[in-house]
Amino acid sequence: MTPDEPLPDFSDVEGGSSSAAAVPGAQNAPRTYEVKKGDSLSKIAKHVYGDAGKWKQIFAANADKLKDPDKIFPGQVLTIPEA
Amino acid sequence: MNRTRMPWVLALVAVLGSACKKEAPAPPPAAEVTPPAPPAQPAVTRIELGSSVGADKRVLAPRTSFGVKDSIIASVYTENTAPGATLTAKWTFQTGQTVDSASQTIAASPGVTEFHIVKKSAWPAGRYKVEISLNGSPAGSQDFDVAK
Repeated sequence: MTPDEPLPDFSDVEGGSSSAAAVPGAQNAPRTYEVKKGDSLSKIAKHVYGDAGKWKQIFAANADKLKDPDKIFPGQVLTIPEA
Repeated sequence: MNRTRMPWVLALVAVLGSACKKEAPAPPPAAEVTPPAPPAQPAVTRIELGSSVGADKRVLAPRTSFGVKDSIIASVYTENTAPGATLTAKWTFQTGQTVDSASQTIAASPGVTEFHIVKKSAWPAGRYKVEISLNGSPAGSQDFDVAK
């Protein structure tokens, strides 16, 4: 931004919050994602990492439960590796 | 006294004498008194940013760079908080403008509380910050970028 530019408009920002009990030691536990209807690995990667191309990382981290990257099912719980 | 008994008597006296001189056993050491630990202070132990969150309120893939269409979520880890403790998240842009501000009662201790912001139009690219307060006192902050 330059000094002459008008200030950006944040009036359409929506926020929210929620809270839950933490499981002791959970800070370092693997993070998981439950597959929803319509999900694909690339869609999950886009949502989680902001990069659909990182679907291979998710596939590799779940090699024990996924044989085909195109076959994931609602309710499956996938491990999400660090970006 | 018969002279033949004299050594025995002397020996007996010597033994009794030494027995009487025996020092009294040392008193047991005083029990060590450990002062009670001071009550643990409520604290924010970690702030993570991401674009999606699990049921446990932890972001799934922590990162500090986002796209202009991304949701932005902060997971705030807390410990030693009393029931009713409150977290506040204030989101600001590099210009100092407040993007959003929200408060949330912490569910439990330890706990994880998520704050999220979404924007219907694209986020202006630049540098942002989320500042976290615990019961009104600054407790941490995290910078992040939005890039086109």
